[in-house]
Amino acid sequence: MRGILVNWLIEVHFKFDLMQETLYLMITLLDQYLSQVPIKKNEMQLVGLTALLLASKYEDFWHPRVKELISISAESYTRDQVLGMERLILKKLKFRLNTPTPYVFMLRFLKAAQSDSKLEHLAFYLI
Amino acid sequence: MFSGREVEWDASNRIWSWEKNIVYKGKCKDTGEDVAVKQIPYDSSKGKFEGIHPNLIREVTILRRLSPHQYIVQFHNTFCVNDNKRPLWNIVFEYLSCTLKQLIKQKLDPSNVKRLIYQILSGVAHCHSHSVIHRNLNSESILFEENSRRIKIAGFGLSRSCSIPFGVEEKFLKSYSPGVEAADISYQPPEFLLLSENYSLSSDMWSVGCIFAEMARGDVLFEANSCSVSQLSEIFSVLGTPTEADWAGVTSYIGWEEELEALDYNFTSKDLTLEALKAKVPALDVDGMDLLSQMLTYNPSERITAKKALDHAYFKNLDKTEL
Repeated sequence: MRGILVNWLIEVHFKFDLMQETLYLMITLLDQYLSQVPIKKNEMQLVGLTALLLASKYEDFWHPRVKELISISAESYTRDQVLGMERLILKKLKFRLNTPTPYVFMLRFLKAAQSDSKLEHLAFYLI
Repeated sequence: MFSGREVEWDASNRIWSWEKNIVYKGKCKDTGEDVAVKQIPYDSSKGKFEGIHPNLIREVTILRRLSPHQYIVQFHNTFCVNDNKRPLWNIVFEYLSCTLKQLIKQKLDPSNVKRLIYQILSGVAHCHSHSVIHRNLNSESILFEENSRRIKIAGFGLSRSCSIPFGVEEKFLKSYSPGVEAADISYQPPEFLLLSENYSLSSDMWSVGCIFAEMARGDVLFEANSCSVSQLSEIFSVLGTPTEADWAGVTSYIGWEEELEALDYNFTSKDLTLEALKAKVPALDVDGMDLLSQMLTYNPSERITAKKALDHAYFKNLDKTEL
């Protein structure tokens, strides 16, 4: 189930043209929240979308509007639900959004390896 | 909401405000301790709430990581209240009554300047060791605690944490600059004003240089101008117009305009630049001037780092046990 959600979120992330860093942070936030809180099956998508919202607020200089996020989920949730979930996640994770993601490490390794663009694409495909 | 500490404040006791963000002086109900409460309304677009403001998320995340530290303002907690159905987020900090700007107005003697700039550099080095760019260092975002005679860096609303700068994605680098337009223009480094993407921790060091000079001369080094071109010409009139030799690529940045080229502030040698700067800050000794000129270096990659600055000869005779 997580796999399906993440696949879908990657598509959403791509559609909004957000930064790479945002994608990895979103998945980290999602995993951290899910590992701490038991949720209902029909809330899974809500948690995923809110993780995307938070990650892009922290990382990007632009974030998708709540309305757009709701419409992309086929109007399954309301604005209040998304904003409520935002507060819940932040509270649960104690505002610690600065967790290291695989992306940061990969950047460092690639720099150390003096990689070319072919290696970079392969590396980012693998993580 | 997060640590359960009850805080009360009086709306008439406003200490600072900027756009919709307001800071009140408050009190902790349990301990009676004075606190500062910063209120930030929900982010909204076209009348619809967009949730918690990105700047608040960044500020709290960064402060959680940086404090406690002796030169960083102490962050207590954050909670939400509803004011007529408008959710307001509150960040609670320790209360400090005096800003560095107020302190500078009372005139600082050279030994105090040395002590304070050392403290500021220690605080900035702490931020930088956690990959946090402050982006809004100025004499009002640095507070002063009278009892311990220590400065505390505050105002992290525009800060960002940055991972390793990496040249592949143009977009990645660009994303670091939006938002800084709101920072105080007098302290902005030339790479901001020129809209360069060459943007990293060293940008804060320019601002520290401006603060250092301000403390030594008792007044702002570069007066604030209304636009970036006039701000740049103000800087050039003191430090000379940068050439490609000083800073490769400077004339090809988006913010570089022909108007700037026409300004004839070409100092032929480094000594002449030092003299012009010296005229602005006569109170500094030779070592101090050397440190200042290394902070106000045009090329960001040649600018001194906070950590290196702490080892500069200027601090040789500073008693570091009494900081």
